[in-house]
Amino acid sequence: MTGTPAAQQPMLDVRELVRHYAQAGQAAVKAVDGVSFQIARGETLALVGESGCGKSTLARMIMALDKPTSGSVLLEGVDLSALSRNRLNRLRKKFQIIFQDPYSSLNPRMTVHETLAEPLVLHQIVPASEIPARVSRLLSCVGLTSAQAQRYPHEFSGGQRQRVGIARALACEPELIVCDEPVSALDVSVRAQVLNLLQDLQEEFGFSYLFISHDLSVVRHISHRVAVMYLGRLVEIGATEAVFMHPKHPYTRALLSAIPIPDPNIPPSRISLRGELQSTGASLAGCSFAPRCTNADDRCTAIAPVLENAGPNSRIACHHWRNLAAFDRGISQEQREPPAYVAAILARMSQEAAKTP
Amino acid sequence: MTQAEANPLLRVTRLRTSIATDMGRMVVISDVSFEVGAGRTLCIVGESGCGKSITSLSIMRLLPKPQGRIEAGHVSFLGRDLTALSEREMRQVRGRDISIVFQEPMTALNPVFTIGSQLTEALLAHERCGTAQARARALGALREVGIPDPESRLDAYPHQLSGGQRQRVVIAMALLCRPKLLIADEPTTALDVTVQAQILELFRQLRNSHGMGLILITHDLGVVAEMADDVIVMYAGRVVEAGPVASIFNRPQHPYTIGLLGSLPKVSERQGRLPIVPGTVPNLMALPEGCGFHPRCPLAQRRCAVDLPLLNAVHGDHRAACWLAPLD
Amino acid sequence: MTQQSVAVAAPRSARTTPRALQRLLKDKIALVMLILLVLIILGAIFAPLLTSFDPYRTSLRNRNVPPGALHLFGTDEQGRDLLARVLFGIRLTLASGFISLFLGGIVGTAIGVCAAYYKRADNILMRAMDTVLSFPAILLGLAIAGISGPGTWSVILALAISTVPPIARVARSSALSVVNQDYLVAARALGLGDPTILRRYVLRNCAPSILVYVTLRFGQVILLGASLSFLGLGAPPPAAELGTMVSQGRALLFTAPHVALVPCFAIFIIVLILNVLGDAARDIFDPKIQQ
Repeated sequence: MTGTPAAQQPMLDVRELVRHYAQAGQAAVKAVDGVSFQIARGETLALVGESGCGKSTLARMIMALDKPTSGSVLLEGVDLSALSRNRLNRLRKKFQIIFQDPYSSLNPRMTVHETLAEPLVLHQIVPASEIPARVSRLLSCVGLTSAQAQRYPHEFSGGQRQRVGIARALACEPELIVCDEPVSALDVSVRAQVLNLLQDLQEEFGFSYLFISHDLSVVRHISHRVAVMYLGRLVEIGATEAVFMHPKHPYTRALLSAIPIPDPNIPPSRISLRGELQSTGASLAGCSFAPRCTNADDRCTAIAPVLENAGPNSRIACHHWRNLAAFDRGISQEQREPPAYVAAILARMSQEAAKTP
Repeated sequence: MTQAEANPLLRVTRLRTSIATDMGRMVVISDVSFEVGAGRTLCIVGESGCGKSITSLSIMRLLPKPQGRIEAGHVSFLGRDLTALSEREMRQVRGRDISIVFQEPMTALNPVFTIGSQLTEALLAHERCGTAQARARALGALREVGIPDPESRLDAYPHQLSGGQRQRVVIAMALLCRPKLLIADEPTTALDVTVQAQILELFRQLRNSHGMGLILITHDLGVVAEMADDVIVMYAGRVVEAGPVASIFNRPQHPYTIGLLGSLPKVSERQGRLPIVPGTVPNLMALPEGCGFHPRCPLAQRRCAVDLPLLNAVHGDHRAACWLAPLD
Repeated sequence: MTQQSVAVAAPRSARTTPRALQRLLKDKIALVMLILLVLIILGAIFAPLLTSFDPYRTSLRNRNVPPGALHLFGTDEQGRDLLARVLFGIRLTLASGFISLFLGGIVGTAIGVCAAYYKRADNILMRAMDTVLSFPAILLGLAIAGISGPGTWSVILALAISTVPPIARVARSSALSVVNQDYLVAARALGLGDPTILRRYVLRNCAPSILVYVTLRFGQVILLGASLSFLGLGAPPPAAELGTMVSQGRALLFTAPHVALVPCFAIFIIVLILNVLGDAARDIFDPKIQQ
């Protein structure tokens, strides 16, 4: 929030993070297996992957809710795992989290005011006398009114609850917000409202977001960079534009080819994968994607590829990315400009929506 | 649509369903009409609470009892009115002629029985065949939905399968008796995109090879664009727009559809702000007079707040329930 | 620990109360039972005003008088008015039931909630509860009476100890469902300390299900208390205690059946009312039935 771009230090620096879960009588589950990335100030990094790829475990470790087996999470250069419990709790105001399910992320027995005042009191953000004023400011920030402060969560719709959850995350003036599938439980029209809100807030306060999602169109919309995760490892990370238009890793391509595009003029073009998603339990010597990859050869099953630079701001973990044919999902054919009458109606809707919060 | 009119598999006419609540009876869908032809796919689109699931439950007569009730309208399946059948006759229709697949695959399977016994049980209930024959057909069904190593899967319990495999088992069960119509209510919402792609592909194959009719209920407009022949858009318990998929996506004729499509982020480019629909979905107990969408509609006129617009043809098969249609 | 546990008895939050009241008003049987219970409690509290007879004054001329106009419920073998004795007995029974439930509830809730929240303590705490549970309450009562002598407080202690494990189990299972909710993760992510999280998040959300269980348990506790007194572990004979009265009347079951039957019937009515109310409370507060 200082607004000085001079700081070269990344907001978040994740270094070789590993989380193994011991299993009785079996090999440990490698939920996260050596993940490194950085997030700059004011940047949104999206983390994409399918269920069981380790996204949520990674998020928990970044939030210091789970201890890594090895590796470290640095927030503005401070190693979170090296802090005492007290110092960590004091530092927690700098990084907050927004959850997927608006129905389980708010305490049903606390009013909105209680929920929002709690972090203010805890981290002594404002003096006690200013708390009601700050709560109403937070509410207006997320498009709710201060009259709604005395209500309980069950009196709100899913979208409104999600706004309260966002306001709670904002309350302690964080610098990094982890968004764990923040819109996937919401209806289409509400989703757009919440996405706009997240973007506006970033513009206003300069937050960094770690945006975890499986919805690629949302990721495309909100993120500056994308990291693709498969079975506990990053397979591709790069600028959003590059990853969407010229995906290099076979898994990224398969994932992109699988999203249905809301435009009947674009025919589906699927890259089929072999077999089923394995669990993270089976530890492989080689590339974790090799069993499902149509390009895999002996080298892939023997040696695990590491993330290597594949152009400016782009890294790929694949032995063969140079040799793969160009891939086009047909995304670029998506109808960009709606008919004039549609555009006019949409513009009027957005105008009306801006008038009445 | 022309094909469907000639030989409609299912014709729903002016269906109206209500549910009893603490605050009295609430009409959850009204005046819902549509047709599905053999080998065609109809997608029902709308946001939560718009009545799309209630529509499918009404067709199957699986409304919660005793709260749910069909108030008016007909559901004609190959000329037979399903609303007039006895519960026993209806049981014969379910599973054999029409099958339904729900969103959550775990609840549709009984955790204490093996996959094989649940599949054969469904077969034995509807058809005369021996146990060995039923087992062979169950095996065939699992193979058809692309389950790897189906022989061993027959003796597996539901919890031993992954989410995608469970959903495929549920679909295999639904398809066992070769239904003429499959209703799939958010079948892929709980699944990952790559698994979703496989299941949609399976639906497409079955539709083409068996001429099965498909009603796909979803909120994912991407799935709609990919799968649908025809689309109906529901809002607050009513059909607000209906027509062929290309026409709906390319030239939508109801302001709600326009808002819905417009608020989707595009995969092709990073937009600034997304267009949004003002206001919120109305409470079904306190629907506004006139058009249900008028309080949120930027084009609303005085008439919209007084008279309810009916579904009228705009271009060919494309119909919209808006006083201002055609909008272009 | 005490600080957390007090909240168990705290009123349900404003969120459920109006709807709970509405539901209660709809459940006619429960409503009637509730009114009856209130009347009985009032009767027990104001017993001295309702009857002019002293429950302890013997009158050898009026021994074993059957129910009639003067002595509404008759008199016992020492000529004491049974109505007065039953009213005083209910007072003692309800009070000891309530106190033991309250004590057992506080300890049980604290143990159950801690077991759910601190995963490491879970095994030790719950195995300890299993051990306590494996002693029948009657045996427990006999042991306590053996150590400290028979008396009301022995009964209360035995009842309290025997209610701890089941309440701990209910508290643990309901706390476990809260512990996995996102709002608890959010609370930890805010940096809140354990006492605050336990009090404001876990206890507040578990309170309804624990309260419902406590209500359901009340009838059993009364019955158990009466059994212990019947066995002679409760307050010694002159005291008006329902179980003791039944025990004394047992000898006269054929000559003056009302002496044993009147307190029996009082126990029966109270336990029935509490059971019906417990069921009603479950229906009212069950989150599954609430939409």
